[in-house]
Amino acid sequence: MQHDIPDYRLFSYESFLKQLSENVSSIFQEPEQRNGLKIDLITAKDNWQQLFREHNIEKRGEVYYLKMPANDHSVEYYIYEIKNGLLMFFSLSKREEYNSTLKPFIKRAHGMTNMWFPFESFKTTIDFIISRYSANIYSFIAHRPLLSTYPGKIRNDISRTVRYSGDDADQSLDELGEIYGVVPTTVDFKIKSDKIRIKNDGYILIRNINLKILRIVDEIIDQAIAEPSRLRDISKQVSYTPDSKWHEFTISKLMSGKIVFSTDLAIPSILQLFHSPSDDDMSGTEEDVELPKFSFVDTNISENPLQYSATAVDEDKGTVFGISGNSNRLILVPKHKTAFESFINFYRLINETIDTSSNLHLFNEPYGK
Amino acid sequence: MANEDKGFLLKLPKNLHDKYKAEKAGLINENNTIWSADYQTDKKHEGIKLDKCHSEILNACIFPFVQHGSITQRLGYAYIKSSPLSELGVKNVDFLIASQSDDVLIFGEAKGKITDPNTVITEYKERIKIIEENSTYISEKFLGIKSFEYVLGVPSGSSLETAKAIHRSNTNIILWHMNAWPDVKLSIAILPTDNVAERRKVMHGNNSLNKTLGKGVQTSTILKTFYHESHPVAKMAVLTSIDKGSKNFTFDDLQTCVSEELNNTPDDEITTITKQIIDWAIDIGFVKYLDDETYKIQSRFKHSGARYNELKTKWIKRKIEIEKEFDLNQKLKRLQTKFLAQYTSLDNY
Repeated sequence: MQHDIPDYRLFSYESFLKQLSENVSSIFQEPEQRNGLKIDLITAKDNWQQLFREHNIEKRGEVYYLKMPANDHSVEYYIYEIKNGLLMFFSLSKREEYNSTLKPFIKRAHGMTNMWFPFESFKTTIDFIISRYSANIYSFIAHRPLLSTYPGKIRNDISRTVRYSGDDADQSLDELGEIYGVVPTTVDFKIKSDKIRIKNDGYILIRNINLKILRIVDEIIDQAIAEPSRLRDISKQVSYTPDSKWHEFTISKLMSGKIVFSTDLAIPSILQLFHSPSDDDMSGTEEDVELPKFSFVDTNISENPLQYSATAVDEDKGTVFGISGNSNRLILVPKHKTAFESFINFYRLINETIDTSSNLHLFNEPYGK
Repeated sequence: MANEDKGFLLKLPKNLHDKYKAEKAGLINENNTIWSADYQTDKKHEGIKLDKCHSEILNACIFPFVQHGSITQRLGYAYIKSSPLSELGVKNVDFLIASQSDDVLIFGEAKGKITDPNTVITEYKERIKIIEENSTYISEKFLGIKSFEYVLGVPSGSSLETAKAIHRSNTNIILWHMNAWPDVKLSIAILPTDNVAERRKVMHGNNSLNKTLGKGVQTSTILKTFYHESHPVAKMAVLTSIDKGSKNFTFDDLQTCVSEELNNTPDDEITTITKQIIDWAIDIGFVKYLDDETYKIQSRFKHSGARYNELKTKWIKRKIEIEKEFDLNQKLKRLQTKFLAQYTSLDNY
């Protein structure tokens, strides 16, 4: 059926999805569908293609084709840019292959990061999937960090992870959230005969590829990207750059960022934040939570009223920025080697370990939720 | 010093050698005890802390003049540089702000901790004198601007006493203070007098700036890692993250970082400061020179937070070592003088 294969140079996104569902082996060289199609959602800088210069990224109509070398073979990705810098990476590769190709690349590259959904936006997406497609949750992983401000009823000072499978997982997620104060990080949905997994770090797994589920996933992403898109816009503006010349002098412009807390923070949260990860204890817990790595230089904390400051260093990207705050907000002041995604990832660290309802803004924006 | 003894002993009669050696041993012992005491380390920590206190107020004074907001956008004020007369080799005030539209330069001094406001004002008056002595140079450098204002930034706790001291001294120093709670805010302080003319004297020429600072602007104690006059540890702190993303770092990497910290500073000054940071860091064993202008961080730690603490410890240790050695040398010199005097007086006898 050679004549059915369209000229890939002319792929529209639509025809790419069609081809993906009808004849996956015509676009991926790897013949077998290994446990379904994986989509990694990535937030990147505007001219993100430059980051892949050394990998011979290839434009194929509306999508891009990328081959990344793994140990003894190559791992293939198709990339589609949903809108400015918001990308979908399609692959059939195993997760270990992603872990040895795209993952370490994203970790080091200045200008890209996994598209993370803050809890409230992730929750909205979950509710959207359930109501729009009459979907059922059949399995999930939910987590409660040690000092979470998220309300729970039982032993709120315990860090816990719940892995749940069962036909009543929809209700259980709500119930466990209410009682144990856990929030979802990975959710498995059944949409009629299709199954998809969505993680809050922008990973989507489609078990059986067909056009219908591809279109549904497309709609889900369309709904879900509002908040990641806002976070990208804000963090890109957080900068300290030469702005204008006044004769021989350079006038620099600072755009600071701000994280506003939903509730008054107490000192243990900040002590935990500043507790720099030691060299031997940096790994996340199993597959589920792998938090961004920051360390804090020259920390300062005082109580009554709570005040703190430090220089934060993104250990992966090298971004250096100052933070100073009190119990209701924290200011982010860029200093050196600024990569915009460091601010998103720092906000993620705060959101996932301290205050699930905190929010990222620019310094000057009037705040309050 | 021990070897230098030989020459000295030659001058001393043999019967005094044992006595000298015994006293010297006692001195070394005593010196070791003095310099290994905890308070020596505490004193060094205190010095670093004081510098930080100063930087925090300085940051709070400068932040609203850098941050995109009403002062920079609507009023057109901008932070220019720290240590404005540094290129003349003159140690002077902490910072310089300029208004392009009002043709005014604001010279500023920040104080983290004030024990005696009168001394602060007296010192500041001396600095103002130097600025005015150099006014032609400054005016030429800054496009003919001849109108200067002088600001003193203090923590709100010291504001009232400082305002009184300014009033007593009858100077035109404008006082800013930083409030830490509920929001970190920078405001202009009002002189404790009903006399409008006297009050006016310590206000800015631009009334909109007075109004904005009168209400207080949001600021931050965090902005720059260091300034021209900062403590060596504050300057070396940038090294803790300089090599992230690559194994080593180059002179240029550090130079870029230094120039980002010190706005509008001439290249040769940036190079000098960069060299100085590297020299200090090599001296304390925190940085190692590899080759080709490439350097490596010598630390047990990968993470910047732990590295900073190590850097601080190494600096304090080295500093104490140097001072201990210096102190011992002074003491030995005095001991030798004493013995020589004894010998000479015996001789005269």
